[in-house]
Amino acid sequence: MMQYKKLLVYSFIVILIFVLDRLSKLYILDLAETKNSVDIYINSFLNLYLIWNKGIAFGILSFEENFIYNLITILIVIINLFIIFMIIKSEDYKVYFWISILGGSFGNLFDRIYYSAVPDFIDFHINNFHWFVFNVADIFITTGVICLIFVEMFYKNNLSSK
Amino acid sequence: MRKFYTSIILIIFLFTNSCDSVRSALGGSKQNSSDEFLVEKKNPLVLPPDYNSLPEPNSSDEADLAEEDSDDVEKLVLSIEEKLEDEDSVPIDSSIEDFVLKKINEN
Repeated sequence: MMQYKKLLVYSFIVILIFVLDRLSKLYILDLAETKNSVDIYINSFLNLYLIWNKGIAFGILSFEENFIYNLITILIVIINLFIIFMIIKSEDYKVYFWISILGGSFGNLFDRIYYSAVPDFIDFHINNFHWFVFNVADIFITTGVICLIFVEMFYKNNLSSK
Repeated sequence: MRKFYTSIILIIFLFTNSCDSVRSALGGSKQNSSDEFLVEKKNPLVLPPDYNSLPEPNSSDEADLAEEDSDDVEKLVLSIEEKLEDEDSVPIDSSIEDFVLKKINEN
């Protein structure tokens, strides 16, 4: 019963992240349809600028060939299955970091399959120094990964020192 | 073990994340022009009708054709020279003189 409840909570968090990501993307894509292009100035640090990423992180492996694209998509599906495995295996609070990654990953995977590219639109910059353009799913993935690495580096060190 | 775990997390990050470089956002790629009337449409590239019958470079046929052409040119030059020689052998003045003399005799 406890396991079932846990599974329900985990699924709810994943769906929540997925829906948040989808709503943000749908809003941007709706703007793109009505205004032909999205280039919105919000403040001096943040713009909304729609671009489509056919590759993986940082625009790596962006090829026009369908074969490579499909290969990467299959690889991402396998990675998602691995993340689900890690969620089942994890006992402590680390499971929430994995869930955060899984929710974001599902959001990007959906776009890869549905649109054959992932829309990125958050352009964070300081003067002319622009960070990579990202989306809401990337925020959850990055947060989860940073937390996991942080725990691995520092929390385990503390345990071993005790 | 910790390094292995961290590297797996980083690989997962690389493949699940989809951020793109700002280069493509700020002018790396061409922007779509909405005014299609400004675009001049080019005719499609079409192969010539007898494309397959054209000689291939360095083929034996081409060498034969070249030889034939040179023979033709030689013949043409020779024939012109012969004609000129024939014309030179009969002086124009003498033919006119004969013609005038004939006319006088007739009268």
